[in-house]
Amino acid sequence: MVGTTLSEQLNNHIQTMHDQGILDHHFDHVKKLQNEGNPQFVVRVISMFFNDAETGIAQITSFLNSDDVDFAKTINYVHQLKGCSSSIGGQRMALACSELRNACDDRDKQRCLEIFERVKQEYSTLQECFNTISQMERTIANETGGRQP
Amino acid sequence: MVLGKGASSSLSMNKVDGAEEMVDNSNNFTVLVADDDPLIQKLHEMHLKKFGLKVQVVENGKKAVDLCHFGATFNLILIDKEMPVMDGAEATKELQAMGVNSLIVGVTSRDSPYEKQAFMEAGLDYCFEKPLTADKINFLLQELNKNN
Repeated sequence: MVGTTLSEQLNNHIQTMHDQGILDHHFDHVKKLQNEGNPQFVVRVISMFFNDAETGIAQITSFLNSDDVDFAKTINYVHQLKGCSSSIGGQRMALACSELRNACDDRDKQRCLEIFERVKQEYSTLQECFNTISQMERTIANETGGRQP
Repeated sequence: MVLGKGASSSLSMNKVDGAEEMVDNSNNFTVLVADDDPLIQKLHEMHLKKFGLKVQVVENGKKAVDLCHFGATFNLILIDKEMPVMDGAEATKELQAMGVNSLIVGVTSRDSPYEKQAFMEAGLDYCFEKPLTADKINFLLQELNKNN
């Protein structure tokens, strides 16, 4: 992509993520919150999302791996995971969480475990996507020498 | 969205050239956000500040109740359902019992109608599903402007 600036590459990357359904418009709204007064907002929010997601996934793993699954507590963490993924625009991950919630409602441990694998897969995809975005945002910030668009 | 007591059932939006027209916030409305998730706190805060709203954030229902108990006033309280120490439903009941003169709106990840209805029954004016969006904020500003 000769002549394409890093900002354009970032926008193209985000558009690709949209096209694949990985991100939805909520991520665009989050990106629009970044400004000169908060130049690393997107990077910071992504980092917070990773913390939230990893905590939630660890807790759900623990609950689903137990012999007697506490579905009520599992549902609480599933909702938390759904909330943070949908708020940052992680569409496919949020949808997978909704399906996991339904499986928990049915108290179907096997189905929960299957769908949870998908949740983790979607998180992994989102993580890769966000790592690329964070890297690009940091590079853009460095190149503009602290002057943010 | 679930509508609460006495609420209108129509969502009125001003559309200008296909884009949502932001409602003027020259009334300097204040908002209390109660959510235990730092990511949600930050996103709500930034979204609301973009509309010129003054925002205070607390991490549980008890802190929200204590703030109001000690005299703080807010035009709008956005409250999560699941929080440690005191959850959103309990906090809402306490706030209503105290007679706080705020629009109290639940913002929850819970998406089933019966769960949202149960939260509404604590005394909410409205209940939204996360994430908080510009159109939801616009709607609330319209409600606040009507009441003022």
